Amino acid sequence: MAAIKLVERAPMERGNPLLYGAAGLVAGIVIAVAIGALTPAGISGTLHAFVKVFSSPSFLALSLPYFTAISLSGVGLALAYRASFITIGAEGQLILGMITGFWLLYYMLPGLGRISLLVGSAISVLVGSVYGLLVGLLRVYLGVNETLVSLMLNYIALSVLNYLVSGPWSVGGFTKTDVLPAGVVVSSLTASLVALIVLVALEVLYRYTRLGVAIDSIGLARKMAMTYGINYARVILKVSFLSGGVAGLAGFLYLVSGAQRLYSTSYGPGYGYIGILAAWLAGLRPLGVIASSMLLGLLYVMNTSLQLSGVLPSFVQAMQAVIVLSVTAFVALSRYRIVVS
Amino acid sequence: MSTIVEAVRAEGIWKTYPGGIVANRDVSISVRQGEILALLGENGAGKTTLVNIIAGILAPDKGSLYVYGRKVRFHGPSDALRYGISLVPQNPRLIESFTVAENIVLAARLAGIKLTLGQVRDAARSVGEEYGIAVDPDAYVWSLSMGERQRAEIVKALVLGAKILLLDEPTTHLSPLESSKLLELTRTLSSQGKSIVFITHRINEALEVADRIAVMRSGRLVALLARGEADREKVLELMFGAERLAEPAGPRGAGRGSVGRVVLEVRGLWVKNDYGAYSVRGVDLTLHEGEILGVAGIAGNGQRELFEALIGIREIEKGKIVVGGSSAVVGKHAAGTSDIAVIPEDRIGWALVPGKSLVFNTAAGMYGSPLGPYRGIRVLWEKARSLTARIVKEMNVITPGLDVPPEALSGGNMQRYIVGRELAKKPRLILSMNPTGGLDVAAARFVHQLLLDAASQGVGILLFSEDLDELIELADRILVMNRGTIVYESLRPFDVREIARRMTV
Repeated sequence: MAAIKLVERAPMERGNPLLYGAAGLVAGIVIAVAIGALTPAGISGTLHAFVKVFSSPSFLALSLPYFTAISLSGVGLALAYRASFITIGAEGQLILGMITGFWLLYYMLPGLGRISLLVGSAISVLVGSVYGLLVGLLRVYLGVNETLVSLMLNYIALSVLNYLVSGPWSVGGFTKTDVLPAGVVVSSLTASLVALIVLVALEVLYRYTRLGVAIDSIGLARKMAMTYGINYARVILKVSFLSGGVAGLAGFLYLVSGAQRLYSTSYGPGYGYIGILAAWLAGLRPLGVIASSMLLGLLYVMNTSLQLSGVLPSFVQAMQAVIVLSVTAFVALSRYRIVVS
Repeated sequence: MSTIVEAVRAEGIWKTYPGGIVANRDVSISVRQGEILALLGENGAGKTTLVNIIAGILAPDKGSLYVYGRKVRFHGPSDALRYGISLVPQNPRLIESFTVAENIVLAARLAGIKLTLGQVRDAARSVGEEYGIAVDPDAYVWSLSMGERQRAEIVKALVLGAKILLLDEPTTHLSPLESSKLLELTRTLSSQGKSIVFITHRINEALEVADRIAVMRSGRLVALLARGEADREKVLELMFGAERLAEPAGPRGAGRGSVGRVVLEVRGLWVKNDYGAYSVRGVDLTLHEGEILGVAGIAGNGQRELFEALIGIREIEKGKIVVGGSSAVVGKHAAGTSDIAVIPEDRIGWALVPGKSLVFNTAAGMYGSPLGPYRGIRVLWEKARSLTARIVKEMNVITPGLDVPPEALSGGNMQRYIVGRELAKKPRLILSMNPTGGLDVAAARFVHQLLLDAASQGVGILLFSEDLDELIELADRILVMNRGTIVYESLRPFDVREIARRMTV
């Protein structure tokens, strides 16, 4: 009997996770199409839908706003998780970034055009940072569980949003605000390029600065880090501030390039939570978040495109899950060697 | 006692650990029903190994066990419990957010015994009354003192039907008052027919309660004395070896010593342990340049907490630490932020970051050093690489490369790398704890030579070691730490007998 065993590879012999992830994507799509056999559309119909989705030029463009919001949420979380700071607060910080952005662009700085975008983004980042720092302060000085605190803060942010859109900022009796003036709306391509620059900058920060060394040391061996002069409290505060800031920027950019207004939802926009998935899929590497967020952005667009092509919504969800699982499994496989004996 | 019943008998027990350390060499010993057997020995004499074998936690390489005359073979602690054997560990292993009764139910489940919370409460109360152990079964463990936790462990063992109790250094974390309470309890238990094995380093405790005293040394059982036969000096000689105590050791006068400038001064230091009790109680010490100052003591007398306070990872409650004769007070994380080298006792996780390359470990380990591979906030990876290459070359570290994680190295090579990295900081002060723990003879000798060389170049070295021979070989002065205070200071040539005596009071 042949037995298949997985043998873990030494760190320097591991496969390229990006290549494995791409293989996983292909495998996932193949399985997803096969699942299509169970739907009224059948395999050929599903395959046709997938081809249509991926060959449409507007498809990539449509995914860009999602990419911006998910990647900026995910990159901050990736660094936080590296330092074993398990926050899930990107969602709340993103919402506050959206609120701050709308308040500034619509109410405070109308008619300033491009300058208001600079000021608005800077202040939105700051608000997100402070909201993130709150979690860091509670963690470091009171020993509070950062995961729970950040989750609760998400609900507070969501409640503030729902209050604003149904009360003071509501227009025409709907639970939504007016649209932003056209002068401050940014193309989704520009917004995603800004996101890309920030991601590269954070990769550089992680790879080539003291903070990167400190983050990994704390995450993998906190006692070692503290023994050799790395200040745990200061690093956690920096990371919570930084991840909050990029999530705030995610909210701001999503507002000006995608949503263009605030509206009420019971669950919130959700990109901050998808960012968690993006961070882990990326192996917690800032650059990897580019790839994982592109994938997740595509899956978002697929959701509507496939439904329009006649695939049932519940099956679309199953297919998305299959694709994410397949990519995750393949990325994990890059750390192993398959031995048949 | 008219008839002697042997509760447990171990015969010809051998145990060798990976790395070749023989912890038990042909040990044969028996525990009689209703007796208190004290097991004495230096650090690393093999006591805990022997008791773990009897409790089914470790399997012996050779030898056999008999319980009430029946040959047994244990595959785990629950097997041993079925025969009424239970180990009370040195550090109570109770879940803090559970009550005492809930902990007992949990332990029962793990041992395959079905008990309800109500049954356990009743059993704990009746056990408590029978033996006079005051432990509230409904008290949460986090609210209990160390002594109460210890007693809770004993109640747990008794509720689960233990007839033979193995107590591994039960008094280490206890105050003198709580210690005497515990000794009293062991007497009560034995008078009710329970058999007790009592590991201790404190000769007085053994003389006070034991019916028989077994002494181990270097893995061997060297003596088994009845109550009347034992006295302090005799036991001391058996524990440490008469020849070792006979004459002053280390007559070498290398010209080093307490003459140079002061590099480290500690005044009136008080530090708490993980359980919130003071385990460093007013320590003073002074270290000069070019001097190796040894801190001796039985493990668990506050050395670890003192070391952690000095390297800046444990809060200081009272007192001060001054480095370099200046007014600079070492606070949190300060050891890493200057020219102080730290060689801790655990390699992976304390000295090294697992899963990261040696190059990364050089950068992380030299994070606070002015000689580290940094410029401003930038990491100079090329410099980190060349530093690593130099350390590997100078220390003859055998490694598949510079990009491998430290786990790929043997223990001896890891330690060569660590010492090399720490010396690359060009330190004035080295703080070190058990730097040769778990190393083979050649690797240990290499580390010793590096420390001696560093001292001869003027570095002040504070060396905590559980290995008395290591201190005798290397140190210029030896301080003995016992119950959180420095109880004795010895200069070369060392009065080993007095050192041993002060360690075991």
